[in-house]
Amino acid sequence: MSDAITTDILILGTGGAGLMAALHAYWRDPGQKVLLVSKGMLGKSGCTRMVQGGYNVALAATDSVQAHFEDTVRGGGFLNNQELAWTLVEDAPRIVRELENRIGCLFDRAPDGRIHQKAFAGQSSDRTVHVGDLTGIEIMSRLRDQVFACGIPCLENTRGLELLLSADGSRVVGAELLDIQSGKFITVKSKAVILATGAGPLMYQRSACAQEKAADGIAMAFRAGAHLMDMEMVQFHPTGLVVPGSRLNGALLEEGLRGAGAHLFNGKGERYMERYDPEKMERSTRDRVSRAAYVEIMAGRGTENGGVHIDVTHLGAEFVEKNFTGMRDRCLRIGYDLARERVEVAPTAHFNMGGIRINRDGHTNLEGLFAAGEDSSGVHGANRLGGNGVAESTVFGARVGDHVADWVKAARLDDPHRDQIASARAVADRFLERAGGENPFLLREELGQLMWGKVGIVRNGPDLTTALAEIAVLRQRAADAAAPGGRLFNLGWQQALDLRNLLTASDLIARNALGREESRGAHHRSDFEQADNSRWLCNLCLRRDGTAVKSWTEPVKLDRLRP
Amino acid sequence: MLNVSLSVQRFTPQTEAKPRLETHRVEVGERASVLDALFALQRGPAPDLAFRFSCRVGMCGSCAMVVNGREQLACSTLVKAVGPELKIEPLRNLPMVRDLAVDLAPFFSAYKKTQPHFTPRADLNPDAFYPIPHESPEGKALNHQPQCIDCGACYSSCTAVTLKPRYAGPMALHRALTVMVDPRDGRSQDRMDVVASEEGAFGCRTLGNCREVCPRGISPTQSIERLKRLAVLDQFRGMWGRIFGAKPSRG
Repeated sequence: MSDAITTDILILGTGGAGLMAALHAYWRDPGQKVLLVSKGMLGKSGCTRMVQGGYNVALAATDSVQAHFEDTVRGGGFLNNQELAWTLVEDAPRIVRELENRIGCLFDRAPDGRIHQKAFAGQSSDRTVHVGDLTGIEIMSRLRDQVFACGIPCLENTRGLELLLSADGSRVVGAELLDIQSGKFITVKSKAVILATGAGPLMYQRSACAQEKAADGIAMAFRAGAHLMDMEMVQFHPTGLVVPGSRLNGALLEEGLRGAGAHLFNGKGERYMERYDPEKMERSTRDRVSRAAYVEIMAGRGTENGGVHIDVTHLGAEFVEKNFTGMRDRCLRIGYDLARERVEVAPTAHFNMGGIRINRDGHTNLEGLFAAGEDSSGVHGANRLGGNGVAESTVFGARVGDHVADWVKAARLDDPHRDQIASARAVADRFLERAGGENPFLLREELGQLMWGKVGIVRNGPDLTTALAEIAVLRQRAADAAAPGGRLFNLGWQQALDLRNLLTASDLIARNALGREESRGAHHRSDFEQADNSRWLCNLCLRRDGTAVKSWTEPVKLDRLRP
Repeated sequence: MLNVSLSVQRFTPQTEAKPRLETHRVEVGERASVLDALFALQRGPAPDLAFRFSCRVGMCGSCAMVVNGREQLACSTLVKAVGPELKIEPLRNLPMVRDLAVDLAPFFSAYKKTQPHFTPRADLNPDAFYPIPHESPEGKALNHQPQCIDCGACYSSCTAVTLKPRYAGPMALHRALTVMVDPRDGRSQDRMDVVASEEGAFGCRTLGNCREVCPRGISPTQSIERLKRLAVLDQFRGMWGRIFGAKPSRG
């Protein structure tokens, strides 16, 4: 009931970061064996596929890498690792040209034939390269086509269970996987493992991201001993659809709508951003716009379904239909005409700025373990700008791919600790073996409500303390859940495994949220309303310490830009 | 709330001889999608029901299935638009994995045969963005149809695929056209050899099922007709070359 595979470079995750890492490793040294692992289907899973707005990059003569950097760091509340943020903006022009001229993405042109860059929020220039309002389809299809052309193998419908360590625990030497369709375990031995599973705040009841993103990478890395940071920084996107009783609830309307001049109104018809950011109004950063909507809704000034309204009708129906076809279709499907009427939206959990600590080549603190994209941390600080997400995954995917292709030349294969394989399998199998237990789908919904209510957009100490206790209880109940139906493509079983990782990440988010006694970026405490630069210009770091969690702070290096 | 009857195919090929339909009544919201109805089954009577989904916003193309006889994306089809009785089956023309999930491998194998990956022209400047004015001949020649999400709906609906499994199918050909009319692409003859064959564009019987079911509003039929014209032109150029020793330039 198990397979064993040996490879040089194992990449978990097949979004923008995973596929760029695979291509760059292959291009750098076709002699190295690369193995991709996708929890869903190659090219179709993860959030890069769902990118709507586009890709931030300083290309125009009137723009500069420095300006992009300053927007990114100011947007991030100065919590960014400035070396990583600089790497993002510095590499983005080269990588976007590679996407266009080598990988084949055909980005939208202006009528005169030049590359078109649209306006996004929180930015000093129009710098978002795009393909209509569904940019991710183009990027992922073309990346997938190149992976096909290079013949890089991919295990599809396969999830990571646990990273495997060497006998002395000092190195990551592979991973234990589970084939979701056959229920078979697969042990992979590799010289290096790249985590690119995309994190994803699916632990909140309203969430925008792809459904396989269950914080698998973060949870596996944490259990293996990797250092994490900024876990309290969860981005809530301000314009998630309000669709009661549907999984579409929380799905995004893209940022370009605000960039193009959308207005937001509360239930009383007031353009409430006047009270929160009179200068930038709706084009303020995501953290501020989300919090403003939250405050309005909580103060009883929301719409009938507990949201606010986005309005683009003043831009002209023809303009909206031409430039936001995908968003209009998305609304039409649920019976709203975005071009001609206001649509109900509310904040939705969207992105983890926090995650695994890396350096600019994707190294973690564990030898043999690398990370890129949303699994990692530091690039965006306390808040990510719209359009910087796909830039991050492709820039850092490419970097880590290049770097690891060189790094593995001096690395060796090693045997994993045997007990670890057996224990990873036992943890997974116990959900199947149990005769009775709770339904993991219902437990997941409970977690969603708990995180939304107590670890959400506006937090406070007593609620966070209660949340930590409740998460601990849920962990026990989730460990006792049952997944009847056998090993073969059993989604209940997969949900039980997802839930375990979501709970690990939820606990770390709540811990850090309780620890950071100030408000900064996406993290807002009603009992500590102000940012406190004298005390909190530091990253809150976490690692596993036996069965406990050890936390510490690291000051942010302000070597390029100071507040 | 809507109370509907939901019949879903259950089938585990490893342990069962043939598929069966399992019927449940479920309550879903007014704006619930077919995918929401499947989630309702998970929470209650069928927690191990197998089906594919990822983005739930119509971008990933993972959840195509046959709803009341017609290929649809489960995430993008409202329950109330289908009616009070839903019958949900997996895509056709593809091997079964379990319940509502099929194996898309044959669909992607056909796709790979058309050499779908972009291959930059030798003289493409890697440091610039190739200018494509909207009103230029190159701009107008682009395949301006909506973006394909490779969901497999067209492949499932295609009679030519059913009759002749070696036929590349609508999606592969539509996307071949997209890259062939891209002025930045430099690959021509080997791709043309595949698409200009009976396994390629000339295998299409112009029935238009693909156009009917495409959730993105693409007409692969139209793309295939364009490919046929390009192929005829290519043959003409080849003949011209054999007679006069050189090819006329591409128009």
